[in-house]
Amino acid sequence: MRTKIILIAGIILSTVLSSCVSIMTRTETDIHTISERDTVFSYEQKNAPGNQDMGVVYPSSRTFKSERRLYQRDSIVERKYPDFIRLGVFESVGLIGTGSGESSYGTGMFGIFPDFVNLRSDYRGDTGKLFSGGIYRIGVGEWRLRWFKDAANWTIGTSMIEFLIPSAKKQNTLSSIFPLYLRKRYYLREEIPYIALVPTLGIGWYPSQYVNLSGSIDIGSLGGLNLRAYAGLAAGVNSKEAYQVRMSNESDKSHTSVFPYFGLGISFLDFVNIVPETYREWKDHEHSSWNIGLVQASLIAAGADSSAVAQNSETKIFTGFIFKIANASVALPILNNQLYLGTSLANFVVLGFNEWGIGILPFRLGYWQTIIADELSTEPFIEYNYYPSNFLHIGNRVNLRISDFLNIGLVMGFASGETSMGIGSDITSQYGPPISFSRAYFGVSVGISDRIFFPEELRYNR
Amino acid sequence: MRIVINFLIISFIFFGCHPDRFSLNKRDDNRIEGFIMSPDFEKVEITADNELVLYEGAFISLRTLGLTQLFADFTVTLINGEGLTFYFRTVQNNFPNQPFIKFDYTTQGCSVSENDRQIITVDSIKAKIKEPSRIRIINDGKLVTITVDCDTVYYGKTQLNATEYVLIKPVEESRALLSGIFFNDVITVNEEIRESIIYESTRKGIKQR
Repeated sequence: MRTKIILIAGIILSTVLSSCVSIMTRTETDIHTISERDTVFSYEQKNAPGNQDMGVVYPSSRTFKSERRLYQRDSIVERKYPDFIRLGVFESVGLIGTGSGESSYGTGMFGIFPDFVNLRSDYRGDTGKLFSGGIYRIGVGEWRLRWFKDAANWTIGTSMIEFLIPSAKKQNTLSSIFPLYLRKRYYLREEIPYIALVPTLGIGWYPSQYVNLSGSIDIGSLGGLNLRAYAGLAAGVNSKEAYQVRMSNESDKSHTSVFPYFGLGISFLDFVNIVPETYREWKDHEHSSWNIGLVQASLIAAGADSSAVAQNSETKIFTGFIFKIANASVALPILNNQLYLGTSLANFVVLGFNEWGIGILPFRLGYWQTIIADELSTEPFIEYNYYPSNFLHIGNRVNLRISDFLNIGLVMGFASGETSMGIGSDITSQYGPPISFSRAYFGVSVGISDRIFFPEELRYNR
Repeated sequence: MRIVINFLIISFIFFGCHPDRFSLNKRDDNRIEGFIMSPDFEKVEITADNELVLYEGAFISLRTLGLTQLFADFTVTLINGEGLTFYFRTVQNNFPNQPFIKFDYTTQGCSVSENDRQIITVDSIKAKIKEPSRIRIINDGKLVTITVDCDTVYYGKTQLNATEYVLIKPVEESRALLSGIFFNDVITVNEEIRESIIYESTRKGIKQR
């Protein structure tokens, strides 16, 4: 059931992303009317000779006609510009100092390194956790707000959904769909990656009603990646009908939640423009990465004893899969700009039923080589995954670019490591308790909402 | 319901707030879309539905979407300074690195140039301070016509493409009121003129042919 929900949510998010051209792009059109030929000519119509009873002297009945001939065609020029200040898929913040001792959630650095053993619905917190809570936003957008006589760098924004989680006590979680956010950016650096101080006022209205006042220092974006340090105060109320309260132990009354916070955050596929960039056409836009994508999925044959994808099937060609979410391969401006540093929000390398590893924010170093311009490229890489599994992954992906949003390819590689840390029972029940693994694999891959950039699109190559 | 209200509020804020854009003749078929090209938006003051004041340093573009065979009609009153400059057969994007025809309407006289190549200078037609004049710019195929009141400043051909835009800026230290701003399709205007001539002729007793 949970897999289905994730799948449906993924499809919806993908659809929204691929159909959100109107919130992303401003189109301007100029018409040039080209007059190929514009002539006026006169011609004479003579009467046919014949008997005319008009006397001896009579005026000529000849007539002159004047005609204009105009051949025109329209040449229509369309220009497309980015029309947002910020558009992001996922933002996560690890909060410090929000939990009351024993109810700290333990979300880890940036809020994305939780203790996987505690990922269960009945978890009510623990002591000794530095990152006691988290802020999570999905589908973030900001647009230019031109008020106060067009004062610079104001934005109005929202997100599809936002969670402010101070602790593991669910009744204190503040959440809202499409909260309204006002932000003002003071840029300390106006070159990529931008650095800005950002005071923010946010208002959430359903299912929690709250105000979130914060300030942050933002660094990014670079390949859709941003780092943020937050300080703020959130205050709001959850009625007893709110889902957080109904899921908690104290579901008979409404709850007020007030908490100051400090936090460190990261966001993925989160693109920030300064105002001048909104006047630069998309085709002239600067890019820092070889590849940015929402999903890369591969079906692999690793020769494992038991398959994770076809457990009941007799033919077990494919024994596992590789699934990467929110990838970025940021070009390094050295050695012809072909080396890249990459990461993902999450990286699942499943070689077999119980031979698998998970990596949050892995380090990836690769080399991007274009084989056929605009179409075929290869990217050998070495990847170190350190949490919650600990494994090294060396591989190569050959990409055939189908469009801006889709590419297919072949993958081959070798992964070796183990998952020594505890993993929640929800995962282990599905794929079995992990054992150490060391296997080579070969497979096919597909990238969805996964854009490969051409060498000439890199800002270092301009 | 609350979602709808929230979205409406956001939408109003998003789309209602473009201080560099304005519209003229909002209820007319040929609605004019204006864009303030100068960095200081306060140099342009919209005083009525088809009237605006340009202060020193202002630079605007006007266009009716889709209308390139254009009859542009302005009543210009120079409040102070030297005059106005009109650019047409050009586009706003990447101006002035685009081809253009430039018409200077000043107290020294009028001049027309194409891509900075002077075509004509007319000393006898001059802008007068606080005296309204009707300026008409016509793009008709390759023909270009510029008239001030009943005087023709220029009537000739050009190889430049016809575009939707008329760009206007005051000459240095000038301020001007533009009223009666009206854009129309040149074919429609010609038809109307022809019909009015026929009507006049019929009234005078000349048989309509």
